[in-house]
Amino acid sequence: MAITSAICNSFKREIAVAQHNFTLTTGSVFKIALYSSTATLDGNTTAYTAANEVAGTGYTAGGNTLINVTPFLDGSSAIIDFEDTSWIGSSISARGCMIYNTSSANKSVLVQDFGNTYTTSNGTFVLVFPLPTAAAALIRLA
Amino acid sequence: MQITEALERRTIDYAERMPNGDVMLHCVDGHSVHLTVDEEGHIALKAVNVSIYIKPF
Repeated sequence: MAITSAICNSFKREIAVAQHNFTLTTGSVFKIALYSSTATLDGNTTAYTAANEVAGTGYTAGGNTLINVTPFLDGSSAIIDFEDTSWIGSSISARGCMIYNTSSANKSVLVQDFGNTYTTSNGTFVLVFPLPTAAAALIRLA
Repeated sequence: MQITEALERRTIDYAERMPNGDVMLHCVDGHSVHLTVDEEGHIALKAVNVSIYIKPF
């Protein structure tokens, strides 16, 4: 069992058939869920699962709703990004995460391994998304 | 969680004194350990926070 960082294979096809819309406010609703090290998530993951999802104070099953950043171009690259998200007053431990689309049958977008298990205790668990540039954005279509 | 557990196997990058006298220990692994110090100098664990930088694909 492990979490292997990947853009989900199913997502690559789904964006070509208009299953996901990253537009702010009017687009799909995306959520981010946290998982323990016992989760099995990789490029073959197709949808949200509650199996091995984090549980603890300050965390609600299903995770946080993300705030979309309407896709834009940086040079010749399309940028897909979200606002940073956090779990305040949490006591949780997580090894990875999954972004998924609640507007489209909870289809998965990507999974990521944090590299280690990170823990909060009555604290704030923050996920910081990379800079929305052609060189560093979370998802880029170059 | 106890202070010893919060700091176990963690390397402190730097310490920050908060305006209210609390101390925040920023660790190199992304955790920050918030300690309170009372008037008698007793130290207690208030919180453990973490910031994770999502990697681009």
